[in-house]
Amino acid sequence: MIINCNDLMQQVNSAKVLLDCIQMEQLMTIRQEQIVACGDNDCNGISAPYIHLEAA
Amino acid sequence: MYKVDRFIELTLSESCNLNCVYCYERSKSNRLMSLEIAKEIITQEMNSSITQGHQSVIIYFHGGEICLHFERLKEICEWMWEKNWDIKYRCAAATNGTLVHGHIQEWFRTNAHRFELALSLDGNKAMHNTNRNLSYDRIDLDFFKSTWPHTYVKMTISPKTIHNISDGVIDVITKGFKLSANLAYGCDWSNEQMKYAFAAEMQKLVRFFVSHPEYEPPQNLLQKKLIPLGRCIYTKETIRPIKHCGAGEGMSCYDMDGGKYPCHLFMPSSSDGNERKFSLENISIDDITFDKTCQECSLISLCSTCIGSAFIKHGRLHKAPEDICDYRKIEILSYSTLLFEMLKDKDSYKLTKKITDVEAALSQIAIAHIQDTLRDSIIKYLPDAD
Repeated sequence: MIINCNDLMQQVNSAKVLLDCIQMEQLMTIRQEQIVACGDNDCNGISAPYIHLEAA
Repeated sequence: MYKVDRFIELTLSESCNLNCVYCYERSKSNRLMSLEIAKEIITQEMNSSITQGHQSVIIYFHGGEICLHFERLKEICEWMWEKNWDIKYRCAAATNGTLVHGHIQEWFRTNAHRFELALSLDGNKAMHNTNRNLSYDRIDLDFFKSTWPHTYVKMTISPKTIHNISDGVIDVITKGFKLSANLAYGCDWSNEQMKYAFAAEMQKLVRFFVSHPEYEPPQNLLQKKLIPLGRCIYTKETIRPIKHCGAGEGMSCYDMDGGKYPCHLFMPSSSDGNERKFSLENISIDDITFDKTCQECSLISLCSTCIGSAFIKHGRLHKAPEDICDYRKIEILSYSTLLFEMLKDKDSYKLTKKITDVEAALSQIAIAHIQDTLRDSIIKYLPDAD
C-alpha cells in the first residue's frame, strides 16, 4: 500500500521533466473530470443513481 | 468549467418493502406522488431546461422502492413518452430488485432503451442479506446484467459488512457487473478496529486489480480524481474543495407534494422528520463553510463533500471532519497505490489506457503528494506496513 520512495521519486522526476516542457496555458485546459449531477457522487445506497450517461 | 445536465429527481413515494441497516429515510410515509403533480413538474422542468440551454435531462424516480408503485410509475412514463419534447431525455431509477419480475420485468425489458434501472447489490449473498433483509434470492441478477450491461450496480458498505469488502467486490465484478461502491453515510464508523479491517480489505483489492487488468475497480471506493490535484500541486495553485455532486446546481429533487429541494437528503423525511425545509436552488462550493481542519487538509479536493449529509448533521451547509475521515484517507492512499502500479503498464488497464502522457504525469505528481501526506498517519492501519 505504501510505495517505495525511490520508485516514487523516479516517477515524479520523469513526470516533472515532461510537465516542464508543457506551456502553462495548456496545463490549465487539461480536462476536468466531468461532474454529472448526482450520478457522480457516492450518495447512500437505496436511492443513489449511477447512470450510464454516455447512452443518454 | 463543466456543463451539468439537468437531473430531475421525483420522489414517487417513501414506502419500501425492505428496511436496510443504513437507510437514512427515517420517517417513511405511504403517500404517493399524484399523476397531476408529476406532469406539472416534468412539463415545467423540460421547458426550463430548454430555455436554460441544457443538452439533456434525466428524469430520475426516487423512493422508497419505486416498484411498489409500478402502476403510477408506468402512467407517468407512458404519458411522457407520448409527448414530443424538444430536448433529449431519459428516465432512470434505482431499485432493490425484489419486485422486478413478471409483468414489471417485461415492461422494463421493453423500455430499457429509455429507462435505466440501477440495482442496489451490497456484495456477495451473505453481505447483501446482512444489509438488506435477506433479499438476495429475490433478485433476478441475470435480468439486470443482460438488460442494462453498462449500468453500474450500487454496493453500499455498512459496519456489518466491512470485513468482507474484497470478497463482495470481487464476487459482483466477476459476475459481470460494473460496480460503484461506497461506505454508508450516517453509520457509526468510529470503531478503530474497523479501520484496520478496512485497510486490510482495500489492500487485498489493490492486489486483485493490479493482477486483473480485465476488471474495472469500483467507482468511488477505488477511483478518485487525481488529475486536478496533480495540476494544483505542480502549478502551485491553491487546492480547493470540489463539490462532488450536482445538488443545487444541475439537480433538483421534488417531494410527493411538489416541494423542491437541492437533493433528497434535504427533504424532511431524511432528517428525522424535522421540518427543515430548504429550497435554495443555487448552491456552489463557496456557499459551504469548512472547519479549519478541512480547510488545511491538502486532500480536500478528493474528499466527497456530501452537502446533504452535512446539512442533516449541522442544519447548515458546513463541512467538518467526520468519523469517516480516516476511511477516506485509506481509500485515497489505496487508489494512489493502484494507479501507480497501473501507470507502469498503462495500456493494459481500462482505467489508464485512455489518459494522455500529460495526465499521467499530473497523476504521478498527485500520487507522490498523497503518499507523502498520508504515509505517517495511515501507515498504522496497514497489515504489512513495513
